[in-house]
Amino acid sequence: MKIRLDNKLAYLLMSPVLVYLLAIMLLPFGWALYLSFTDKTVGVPAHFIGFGNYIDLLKDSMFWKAVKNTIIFTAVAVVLKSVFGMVMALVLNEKIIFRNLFRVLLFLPWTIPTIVSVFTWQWIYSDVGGVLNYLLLKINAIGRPIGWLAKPDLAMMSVIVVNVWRGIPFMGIAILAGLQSVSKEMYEAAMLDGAGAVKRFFYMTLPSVKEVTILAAVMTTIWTLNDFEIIWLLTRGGPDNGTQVLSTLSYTIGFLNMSLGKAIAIAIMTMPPLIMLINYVTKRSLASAD
Amino acid sequence: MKKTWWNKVAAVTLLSALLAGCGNNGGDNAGNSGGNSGASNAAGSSGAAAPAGEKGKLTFWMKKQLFEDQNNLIVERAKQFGKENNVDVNVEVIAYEDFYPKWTAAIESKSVPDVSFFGYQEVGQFYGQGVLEDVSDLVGELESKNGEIRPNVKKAVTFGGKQYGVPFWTESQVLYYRKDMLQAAGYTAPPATWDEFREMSKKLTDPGKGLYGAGVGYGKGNSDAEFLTRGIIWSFGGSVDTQDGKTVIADSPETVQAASFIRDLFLTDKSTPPSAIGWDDSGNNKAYLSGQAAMIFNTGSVLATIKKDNPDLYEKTGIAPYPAGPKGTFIPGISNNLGIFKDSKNKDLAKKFIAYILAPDWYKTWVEAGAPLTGPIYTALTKEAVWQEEKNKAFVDSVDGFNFLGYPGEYNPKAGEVFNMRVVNDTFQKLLLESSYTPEAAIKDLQAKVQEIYNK
Repeated sequence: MKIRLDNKLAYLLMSPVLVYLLAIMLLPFGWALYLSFTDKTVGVPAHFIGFGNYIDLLKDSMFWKAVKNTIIFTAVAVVLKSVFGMVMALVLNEKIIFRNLFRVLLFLPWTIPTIVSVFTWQWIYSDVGGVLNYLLLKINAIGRPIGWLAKPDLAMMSVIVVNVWRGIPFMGIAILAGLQSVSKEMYEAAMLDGAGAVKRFFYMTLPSVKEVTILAAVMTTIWTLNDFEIIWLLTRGGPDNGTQVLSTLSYTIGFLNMSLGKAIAIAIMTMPPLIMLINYVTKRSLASAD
Repeated sequence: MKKTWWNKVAAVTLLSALLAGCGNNGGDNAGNSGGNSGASNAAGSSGAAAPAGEKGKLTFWMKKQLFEDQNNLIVERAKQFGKENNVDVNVEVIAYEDFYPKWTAAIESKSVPDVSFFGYQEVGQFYGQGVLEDVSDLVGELESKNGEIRPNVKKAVTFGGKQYGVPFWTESQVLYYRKDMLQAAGYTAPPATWDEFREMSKKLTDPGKGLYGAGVGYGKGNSDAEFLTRGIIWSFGGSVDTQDGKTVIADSPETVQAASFIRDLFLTDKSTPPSAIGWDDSGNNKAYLSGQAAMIFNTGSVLATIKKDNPDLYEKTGIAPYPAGPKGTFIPGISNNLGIFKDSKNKDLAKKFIAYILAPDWYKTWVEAGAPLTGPIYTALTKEAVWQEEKNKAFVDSVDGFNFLGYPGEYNPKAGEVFNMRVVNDTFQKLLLESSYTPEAAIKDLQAKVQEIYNK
C-alpha cells in the first residue's frame, strides 16, 4: 500500500516534466513526423502521400548536393575548431603576460551575436573596401580583389572560416577546463625525466583531455550540422548551390516555397545522425559521471 | 472541435520549433502576433468599430521602410485611426526577410493579422492557396472616391477579374549611371539599348583602378538580379514562363540570345566586379556608392540615400529607363500591396483601415517622404511636382511599361514560385561559373526546372 502511495507521489512529482515533454517535444515531433508523410503546403489541408516526400528527396540531385555540402561543412569545421581550440587552450593555460586579457579577447567571438559577426565578416570578405582583399593587395599576394563569396569552393571555405572563428572559443573553454585538472607536478616530473614538449603533449596532455575534447567535439558537431544563420546570411546557399546545406534547403523549401511536408521530411532525415551523436554524448557524459 | 484545437497548438508549436531551429527570430514575433490577432478576433466580428465603451483591436503588419520618416508616419496614422474609431491598432513594422516565417505561422494557426503588407508575388502565391480575401469592392470604392489607381499596378493583383490586394505603392528599377565617367569615356547619353550598354560597360571597365562598367550581380537570394534578368530576356523576345499558364516557353532562341548577352558581359568582357556573382541585393548599391561600378540597375533607394548623404555623387548621377532590346524596353514591375486574409475576423474594419491609409491627402505625404523609392498608386499623384523632377520622373514613368512575373502570360502563383525559388538566378550563376556550360544548355535546364514547377 505504501509502495503504491509512493508511486503515486512519484508520478505526481514527475507530472510537470511529463506534461512538458508531451506538450513541447512529443506532440510537435509526432505532428511533424505525420506532416512529413503529407503534401502539406501552407494554408492548404494536408493529404497523406506516404513516403512521397522522402522518395522525391532521394531522387533530387539538390538534396544530395546539400547532403554532401553538409558533410564537408561539418567535418572540416569540426576538425579545424578542435585543432585551433586545442592550441588556444594550451596557450591560455601557460603563464603568459596579459593571460586574462587574452582569455577575454579569444572568447569574444563566442559572445558576439551571430548576426553582428556575420555582417562583420561580410564586410571583411567584400571586394569594395573589404579588409581581407585590402591586406592581400597591400602585400601583393593578389593582383585584383577576390570575390570570396562568388565561387562555390571559395564560398564554402569562407563560410567554414566564419563558423570556425565563432566555434573555437567553445572548444578552447572546454579543453582549457580539462587542462586545469592536470597536475603540474606530473609535468615537472616528466620534464625532470627529460620528456620534451612534443612528448609531454602526446603522452600526458592529450590523454588527460581526451574525454573532454571528444565530448566537446561531438557537441560542436551537433551545432555545426544545424548551423543555419552563418550560411543563410552570407550566401543563402549560393553561389550555384555551392554552400547549400540541409538546413538552408529545408528553410527554402519550407518557408519560401511553403512546402512544409517536404521541408519537414528533410529535417526528419537529418535526425538519425543527430540522435546517434546525442546518444553518444549522453552515454559518455553519464559514464564519466559514474 | 477538440481535434482543431490540438491541430492549432501543434502547428504553432511545430512552426515555432522550426523557426527556433533555423535561428530566425521570426518565431517570437509570430507568437506575439498570434496573440494580438486572437485578441482582435475576440473583440467582435461585426467588422465595424467596436461599440462604445468596448475597444476593438486591429493588427497591421507593415513592411519596414528604408526611411524612418515613413515608418513613423504610418505608425502615427494607425494610431490616429485607432483614436477616431475606438480601436487599439497594433502595428508591427517587420523587415521583409522576416515576413515569410510570420505569414506561415499565422496562416497555419489561423491567427492572421487583420491587414498585412504583401508584394505582388505573395498576393499571387496566397491567392493560389485560397487564403486571401477578395477586395475588389474596396479597390472600386477607392477609385470612385480618390481617382484612378494606375492600371498596370492593379493588373498585378487581379486574378479572374477580381483584386486580392490593394495597391499601396510602386517601385521601379531604373538605370543609374555616372554622368562624369560616361563623359570621360566620350559618351554624352546613357545607353539606349542593351548592345550600347555592353559596349559602354566594356569601355568604362578598368580593373587596374578597380572600376567596372556594369554593376550587375547574381547572388543566390538576389531579387534585383531575378527582375533584371527577366527584363533583359523579355526585351530580347524571350520568356522564363508561359503564354497559357501551363506550357513553359523558356527554351527559345531569343532567351538563349539574352543568356549569351549576359554571359558575354560577365565572362567575355569582364565588365562586372569580381565578387558580383555572390552579391546580395545590397551588392550593386555598395558598388555604386563606392565608385566601383559606373552603371547599376536599382530602385529609388540608392538615389534617395545619396541625395541625403552624398550630394556630390547625387549631382554626378544620371537616371534613365531600362535600355531596349531587339523587341523594345521591358521593365519588371514591382508593386507593393495591402491585403486581408480570409481568416481575419475584422474584415470590414480592415477595409476601413486600408481606405484610411490610402486617403490621398495623407497618402501623398507618406509616399513623397519615400520618393523616389515609393511611387504613388493614384495616377493623379504622379503629376505632383516631386515626380516631375528630372531624377524622379523615370521612376513613375516606368510604371506604364511594367510587365510582371509570368510574362508573356498573366501573372500567376506558379510564376511567383519560380521567382521565390530563385530558379533564374541559380541557372545564371551556374552559367557564369562553369565555362563549359553553354547558354543553350543553361536555358534547356531552366525550361525543365520551370516546367517542373508548373507541372506540380
